[in-house]
Amino acid sequence: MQLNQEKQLQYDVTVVGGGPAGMAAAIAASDEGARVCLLEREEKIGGILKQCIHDGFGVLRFSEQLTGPEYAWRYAQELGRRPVDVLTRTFLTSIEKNGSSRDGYLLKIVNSQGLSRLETRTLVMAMGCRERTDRQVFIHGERPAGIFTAGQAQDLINLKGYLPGKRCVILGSGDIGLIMAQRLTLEGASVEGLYEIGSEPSGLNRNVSQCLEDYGIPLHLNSTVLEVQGRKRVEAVTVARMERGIPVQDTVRTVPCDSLILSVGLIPENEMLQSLAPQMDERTRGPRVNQYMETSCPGVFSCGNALHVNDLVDYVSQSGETAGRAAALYASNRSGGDRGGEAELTAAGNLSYVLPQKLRLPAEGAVPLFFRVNKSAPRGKLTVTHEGTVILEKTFRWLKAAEMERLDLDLSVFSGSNGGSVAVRMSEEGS
Amino acid sequence: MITEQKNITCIACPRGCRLELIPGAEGSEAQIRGYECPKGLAYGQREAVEALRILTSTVKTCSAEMPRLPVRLSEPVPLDRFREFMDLINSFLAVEDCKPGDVLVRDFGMPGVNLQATGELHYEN
Repeated sequence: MQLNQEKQLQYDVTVVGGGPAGMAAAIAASDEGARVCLLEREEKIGGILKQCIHDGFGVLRFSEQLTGPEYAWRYAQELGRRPVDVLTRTFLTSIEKNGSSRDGYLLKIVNSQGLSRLETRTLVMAMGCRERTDRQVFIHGERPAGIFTAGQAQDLINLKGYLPGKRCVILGSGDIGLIMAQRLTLEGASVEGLYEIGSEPSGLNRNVSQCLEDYGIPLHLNSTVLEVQGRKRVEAVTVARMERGIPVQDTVRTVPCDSLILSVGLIPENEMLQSLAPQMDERTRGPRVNQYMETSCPGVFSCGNALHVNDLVDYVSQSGETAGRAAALYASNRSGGDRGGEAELTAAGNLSYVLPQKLRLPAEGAVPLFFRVNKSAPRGKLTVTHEGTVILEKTFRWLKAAEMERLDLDLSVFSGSNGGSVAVRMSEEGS
Repeated sequence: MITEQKNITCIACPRGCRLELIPGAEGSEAQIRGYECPKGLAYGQREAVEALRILTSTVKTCSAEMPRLPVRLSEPVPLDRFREFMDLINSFLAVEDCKPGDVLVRDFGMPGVNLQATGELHYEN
């Protein structure tokens, strides 16, 4: 759309990022009557789903197995039916507070129209996450051509039609790495093996089964890539089995290859939030939020993979919807303001984190708690206590570090209380 | 039906049991080992008869903005025929506008299996 340089752009809700979280947020905010703007730096909305051509998306949302582009397309169609200003090829360059905290925020954006200023009552941050790169893992040797993150390889193959290598080694067993092992094989490359430093794959079982086992690609657990060989182009990698962080002597081998694909973790992308300095959670690496996905900065909401790395897009959309709706209510002063109090949630026992980190009380209905365990376990008992009193208990089977779990917490258990501390603990049971 | 032993990870639940599929003598039903529940047994038996999967990939286009169009097969097909299907997919060129769900080729490589677009392709006149 054409930006008017004379008039300051003004919105109730500005969504930053047009992936699954941002699209859902913009739709939900618009449905609540808010004037909504969505900022997207790429040419088309849809985010990373555009390159995820495999199926398995939307089982919870649409009760169908969709591919990534299909899932994104459905949301883009929905968005297109609403009066939302979608600004593509637009970069957000700065965020500042605009007057007092309830007046909202002042943004600077850059696109083909030049530099513009945008005033917004609320912000929904939906920037997604980034892949860890070869500079963030310790591998000896040079960094010649032929080293890609799994997402880069996916972009090259699925969107641009280039094969990044003919003989590949994959480091890390995240889901995108597993999926790329299959894609590379189908497109005619040979995948020499997948090396994972941990004792179990970090991706889903389904992907281990259908992306590695189906093609006979060897998975080497407790193993890693020690060194990249080659100066101009990757020529080989040195691999080894690891024990207590040290390579086991007679397992050190050289694997000839022309590319190394990395699938070594995802980090929520929140650099844009730095100027506002919201409270962050060092485990999720996203901001701390309450059940409305509101951060510690009034009127700033966070959702999707920018909030924490999800394994299902359905949950990403759901958090976007919650954030978008809450932002619209906040912008029209219907959110209940600053009444009541906040309870703090903490994760304990075999839990790496729990989300949301805060609950605004009093409130009605149920809140989905999302959590991840540190260590896989055949059985675990989740106990939620409020000020020492048990308010919810549930036993879980076959907990996997790779799989996020979810449990609904009915807020009526907090009757009469507007705060306090809530401990969420996963303990071993009956073993 | 499988003709040699296969070791697979069960995907019926997050537990991920290791299943052994052992071929039966002369066309009789395969023996499944390592399952811990009826769902696992059923999954193993299905995999022993024929491993069917949905194949997704991309096809060439003539568009500079969108050089590849994502596609899928409408039905699960035997895993051991993926290579053939990939060759067919790689020889297809998308020359017309389409949107997700549109059938690009009917009876594609197998009766009842269609090649479907999963993305939107729009040529500028």
